[in-house]
Amino acid sequence: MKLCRVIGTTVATVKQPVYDGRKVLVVIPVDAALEPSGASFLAVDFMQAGTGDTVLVAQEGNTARQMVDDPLAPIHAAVMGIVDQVETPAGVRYPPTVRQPSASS
Amino acid sequence: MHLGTVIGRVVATRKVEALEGVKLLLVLPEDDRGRAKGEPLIMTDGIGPAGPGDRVWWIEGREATLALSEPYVPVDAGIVGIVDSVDSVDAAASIDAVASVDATASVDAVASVDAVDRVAASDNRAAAATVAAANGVATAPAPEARS
Repeated sequence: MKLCRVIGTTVATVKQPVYDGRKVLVVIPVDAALEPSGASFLAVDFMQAGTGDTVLVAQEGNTARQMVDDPLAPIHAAVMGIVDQVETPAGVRYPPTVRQPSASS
Repeated sequence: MHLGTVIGRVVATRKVEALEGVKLLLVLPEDDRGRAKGEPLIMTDGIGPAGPGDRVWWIEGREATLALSEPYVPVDAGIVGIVDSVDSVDAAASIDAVASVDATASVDAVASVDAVDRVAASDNRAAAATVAAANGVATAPAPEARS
């Protein structure tokens, strides 16, 4: 899975039936410091994620097909989670849209 | 899944038998802003009406085949939707905006809470000293209050 940030949405009328009623998000990969790195791509939303959210994205067909419970669905990338925090040796980082724990607690 | 724009059609007379009758399109992979990412790819069209100029969703890997009516065609990239619109924000700008607002707000909030705490604490100490003095209890800082 990749750490990504949601930066938008797309709309398509003519599409494969598996995409009916599903949200296809524009995501851009982010590094461990949660800064954008790389070119944006698309992923089907399974987490009610929105623009600004930092998310887990699987780019693997079998994973995505399990999410739609259809072994023959032409679907590849899926938003699998919304990130609350990332811990690295450099410290704990919080996505910009996540409310940080208060300093006094 | 990725965005791309169809930039042409590809015709091949001699080809793998499984590719007979499959529409092949030349697609330039793009990001959400329409900037090219990588070289053009040849893709199968799994929905039918896509043609040059169309902006499309496309997928790579095994799934490209699953978009076709025959599920065992040896292809590695395919079109799965024709895009009507893309609504996206600039990644760096949006993060800067969100981060600066949040950081400023949270720092202000913490600072003001600390300030209130300190004021309350000093008020409490002053009040305690006053009460102690009124009760005639000797406290270190208030000997002159008794005289």
